[in-house]
Amino acid sequence: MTYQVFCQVFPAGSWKWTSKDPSGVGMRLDGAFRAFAATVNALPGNADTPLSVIRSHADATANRWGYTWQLGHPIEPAHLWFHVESPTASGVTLQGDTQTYSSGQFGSAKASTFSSNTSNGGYGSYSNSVANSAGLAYIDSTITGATSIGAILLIAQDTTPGREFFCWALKTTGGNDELHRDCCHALYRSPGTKGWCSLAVFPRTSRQSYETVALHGYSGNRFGSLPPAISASLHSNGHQLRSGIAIGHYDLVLDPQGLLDSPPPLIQLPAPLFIGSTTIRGASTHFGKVTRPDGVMLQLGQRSLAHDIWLWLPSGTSHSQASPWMSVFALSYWRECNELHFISGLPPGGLPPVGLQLVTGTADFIRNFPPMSAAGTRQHPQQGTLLFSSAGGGDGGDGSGALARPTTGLLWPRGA
Amino acid sequence: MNRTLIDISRLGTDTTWPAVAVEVNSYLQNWLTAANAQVSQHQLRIATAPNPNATATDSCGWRIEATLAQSTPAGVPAVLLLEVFLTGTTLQIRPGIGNSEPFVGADSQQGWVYPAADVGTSSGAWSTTPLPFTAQVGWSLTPGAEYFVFAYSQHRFSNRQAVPLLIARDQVSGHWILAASPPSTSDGLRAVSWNVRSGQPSGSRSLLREPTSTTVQIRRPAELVLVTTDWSYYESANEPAQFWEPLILPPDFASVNLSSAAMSYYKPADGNEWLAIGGHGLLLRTKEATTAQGGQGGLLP
Repeated sequence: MTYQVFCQVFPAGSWKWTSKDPSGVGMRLDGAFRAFAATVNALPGNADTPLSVIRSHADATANRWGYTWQLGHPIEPAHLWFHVESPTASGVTLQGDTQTYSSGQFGSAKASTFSSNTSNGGYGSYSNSVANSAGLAYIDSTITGATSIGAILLIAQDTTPGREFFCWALKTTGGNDELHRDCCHALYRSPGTKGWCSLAVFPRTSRQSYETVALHGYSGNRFGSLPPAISASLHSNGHQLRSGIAIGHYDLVLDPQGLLDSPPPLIQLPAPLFIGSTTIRGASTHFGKVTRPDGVMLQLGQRSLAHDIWLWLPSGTSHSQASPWMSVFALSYWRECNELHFISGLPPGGLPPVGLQLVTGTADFIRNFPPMSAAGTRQHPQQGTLLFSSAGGGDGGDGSGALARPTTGLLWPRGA
Repeated sequence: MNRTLIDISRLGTDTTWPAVAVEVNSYLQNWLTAANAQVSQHQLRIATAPNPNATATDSCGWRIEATLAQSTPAGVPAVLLLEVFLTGTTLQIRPGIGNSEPFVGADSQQGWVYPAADVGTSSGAWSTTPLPFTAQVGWSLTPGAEYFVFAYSQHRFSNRQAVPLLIARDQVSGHWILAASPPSTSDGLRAVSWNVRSGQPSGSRSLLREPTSTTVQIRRPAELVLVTTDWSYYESANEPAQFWEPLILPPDFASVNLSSAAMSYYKPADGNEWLAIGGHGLLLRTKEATTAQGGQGGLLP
C-alpha cells in the first residue's frame, strides 16, 4: 500500500496550532512527515536527496509555531518552512482576522544560509531567504470569535519509488464561511528532474487577501521558486482544475549554470493534485466531493477568489495508519458536487517528458533567424536559399523531395 | 518520405486567393486520401472546396469535416467541422460540432454548435490585391503523427500572419484536431476536437505558451489550452463533473513565446530546427535532432 490517504480530527475547543501537545495538530503533522521521510529516505534512489526535519512545533520557544523541512540534494540542499505567529500581549494581530495582515509565512532558502540558533522563536535565522505571506486558520479555537472552529488534518502520501509524494492539508470545520481557512503543502518528484519539488496552495478568501501558490524546485542543481504557469494552462471560465501540467524552469536559475544550451525537462505538477478555479461553478463551499466509477475527488482547498485544489483518490485508496488516524471517507463533511471540469496530465507512459528549449540571442550563438532583418534573411535556412541563390531554390515539383516552388508568380528571383 | 514541406510564396502581382486556395486544396486532397486510408476510424472530408472562379466578394475556402467513430450521447456520429473562408477582405474561421446534417446556418443544437461560447467564429483582415506572401504547405503521414498545415505571412505584423488550416492527430486520444490560427493580433487559435474521457467535444483558443516577458523558450510538446464545453450534451442544469485529457499536437509541432514571429527560424542546441508559422507562436519542425545533418528526417536540403 504505497499510496495512502488518512486524516485526523481536532474538534472545536481542542484544535490549536500553537501547541506542543503530542496529540495536537503540529506534532501529529511532524510525526507523519518523519514517518514518510524515513520510508522514502531508505529507498536507493533517494540516497542523494534525503528529507529531514530541521524545526518543528517542539522547537518553539516563543510565539512562532510551525515546521522547517530540509530537502536533501547533493549540491544544494534547501529549506522550506511554514511558520505562524500567535497573538501576543504586544499585539500581533490574530491570524486571519483582517485582510491587511498575515502572520503566516511560507518561505524558502538554501540550507547553506541557515544559522541554527534560537532566534525567531526558536526557528533560527537565514542570511538570505524568500517568504510569501500565507494565512492559516484561526490559530486557536480558544480565542474569542473562533471558539466554534475545529480542524481536520489530511495526509496523502505515496512511497512508490519515483513517485514519492507527501501532501498535508488542513481544513477548518465549524463556524461560518468567513472564518473558514484551508491550506495545503505537497512535496513530490517530477519525472526527469533531480531533487524534490514543492507546491503550496493557500486559497484566497473574502477575509484573507494572502493567496499563495508557491512552487519550488530544482532547475539543474539550483533550488529556487519557479513561475507557476497554472493560469496560462487553464481557460479562464472559472470551473477548470488541472493536473500534471508542466510548468517550466526559471531561466535566471539556469543561466549561471550554463544550462541554457541544453533542453531541461519540464517540472510537472504532481498527478494526484488538481489546481484551478471553481469560482463560477461547483462546490459552493469547501468540502466538495466528486464520486467517479474509478475513484473519488476531494476538495482540499475551497471555492476561492483564486486557486482551489483537489485530491484524486483512485478506487481502493486506503491507509495502514494506527488510530487516531482514520479514513477520510469516515468524515461526514464531504458534499457531492458537480459542474466542474478536471483536466488530467499526460497519461502515464504516454508521451516521453520533453523539455523546454531555451533559445539564446547572444552574439556568438545566433540561433534565432528573424525573417525581416538583413542578416536573418540571408542566413535564414529556408528563405535565404530562395532569396539569394542564383538557382532560385527548390526543384519546382520534380518530385525530388527538395523544396518545391511554383514556376510562375515567384517573389524572387524575378524572371528566373 | 513521410513528411513534406513546400514553399508556395508568391510575388503577388499576378496571383489571386482562389488560385492559391486551389493549389493548397490539391495538396490537401492528396494528403487527405492517404490519411483516410491510414486512419480508418476517422473519416476526413472536404465538404466544400475552394471555388476557382470566386470573385473578390465571393466566399472562397474550405469546409472540412471529420466524422469520428465515437457517437454523441444521442447515438449520432460526432462530426467535427472547420470552416475557413475568405470573404471579401476578411479571413473567417469557424470551428464547430455537427450533430446532424445539413448545416442550418446558426449556432443550434440541431445543426451546428461551437465547442464553447468563446470558441466561436474568429476573423482577421486580408489584403486581396496584390497578394504577396510567404507561405508554406506541409504534411506528414507518419503513423500516429499525421498532420496537414497551410500557413502564410503577408508582413511582419501578426494581423497578417495566419495558419488557415491545421489538421493534426491528437497525441492523447488519436482523434483529429481541426484548427486554424487567424490573422489577428489578439486572437490565437480556433480548434475543435473530441474528448474520449468525457464523451464531449472540446475546443481551444490558444497554444500553451510561456509568458512573452521571459527568455525565448520553445515548449514541447505543443499543447492546446483546453476550453471545456459550457453547453455540453448534458441537458440538465445539474451537469456532472467531467474529466478531460489534454490536447497535444504531433511531435513536429512546438510552441514559442513570441508573437509576430512567422518565418522566424530556430536552431536550438539539441539539433532540432523549427520554422515559426502564423502569428501566435506555433512552430513546425523542419529538421529532427536524431537525423540531423541533412538526413532523412530533414525537410530542408
